[in-house]
Amino acid sequence: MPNLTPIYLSLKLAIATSIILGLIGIPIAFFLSQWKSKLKVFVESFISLPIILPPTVIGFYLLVLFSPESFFGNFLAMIGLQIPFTFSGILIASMVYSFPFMIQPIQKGFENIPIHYWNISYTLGKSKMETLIKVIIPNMKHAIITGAILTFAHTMGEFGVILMIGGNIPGETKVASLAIYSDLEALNYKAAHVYSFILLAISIAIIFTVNALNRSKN
Amino acid sequence: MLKVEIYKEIKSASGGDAITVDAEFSKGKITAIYGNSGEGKTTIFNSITGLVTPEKGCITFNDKTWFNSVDKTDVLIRHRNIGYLFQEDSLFPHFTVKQNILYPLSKAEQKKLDLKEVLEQVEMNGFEDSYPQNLSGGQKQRIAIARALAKKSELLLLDEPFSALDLEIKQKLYKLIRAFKEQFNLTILLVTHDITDIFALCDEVLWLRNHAANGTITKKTFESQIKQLSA
Repeated sequence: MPNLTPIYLSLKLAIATSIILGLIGIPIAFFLSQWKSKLKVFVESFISLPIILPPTVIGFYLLVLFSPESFFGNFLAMIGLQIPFTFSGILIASMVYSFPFMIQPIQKGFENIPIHYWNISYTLGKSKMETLIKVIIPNMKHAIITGAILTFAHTMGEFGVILMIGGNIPGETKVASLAIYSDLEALNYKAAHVYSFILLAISIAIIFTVNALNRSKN
Repeated sequence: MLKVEIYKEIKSASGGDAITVDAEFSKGKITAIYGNSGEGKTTIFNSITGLVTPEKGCITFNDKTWFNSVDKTDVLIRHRNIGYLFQEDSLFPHFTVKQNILYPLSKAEQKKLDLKEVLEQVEMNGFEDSYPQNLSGGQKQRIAIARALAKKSELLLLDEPFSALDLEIKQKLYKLIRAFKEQFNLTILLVTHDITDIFALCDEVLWLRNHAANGTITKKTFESQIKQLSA
């Protein structure tokens, strides 16, 4: 039986990324859904960049940003924070890389809420915050769950960006996708098969869940 | 009494335009706001509720000023205590009938409320645990009325609530609304472009023509003006 630490690291990374991005993503998606400025198109395009950018490009720039040679990296080093080649590093990288996968479905969810839900709630004596929490978010839970599942799935499959910022350090940054690559290079097909099969099973389960959610929504 | 004296700019198909209204709506009466599509009927409602802000004017209800452009008074929507039945579904789909009715009430008000009695008043007993998607259009409107009553709204705004309903269901609702008007001495405004609603339900009419209306007219006057138009 191969060492299952890479699977554990992948799951830990995917869960942490989904939770943190969910917490950050809901307010950002809400803001974007309400924002009317002409700058919105630029901000949305910037947020979508990770979808089309090669992961190595994102990884490279993050590495430059966090390198002790840079001003910001030097500052982090001075306060005792090391980001490259640590779990925190791959967490930040995967949050940047998966950002649009969380934001876009939630923003769509907010935009699809009929305006009269807001108006009804206001005329019933509720504030904007109460309306948001008690009416709007419960009526777009599918969008939030879809965002979380897509982020989780995307993070489980990350390779390039994690390799760039995290290296391939066993027990720290060597996630399942990197372990498959390493085992293949070492001709250790059995371990590569196990990791691949587990990732395949998780991916199938995720796709079924997303489809079932969409079906129940329709 | 509701007093509305507003000037509100709107965007219309022909470009920029403005609605001017100067009218008083009596307590215990049902007044129709009548006019063609695009005249600004819903904008008047939205100004009364506070969902939109008029450029100029004043809105008072029972001697309380809700809006005054001169001294910048603009009472928050949630403090105006209006019962508003929207053209679209007025119920929240993720709440049951009971949760929809209790939603605007405080914890203390929820404890005091006799939900059974409220549901009886709108002939909807036994539906407290149903979700709106399992109710017909007429039943949904009755629950929305029940919610306004539970909230003790003294002003009820009905924005074309009968437009998607069958005649039989409409007539039941007319009866219900008339009964509540008598029982609770409500001020009721009804936005409609259907004159059958006016003849069946209303006491007075505010007729919007070219985005303007100055005072209400009686139903009798409205009827004769309609006859003159069609002659």
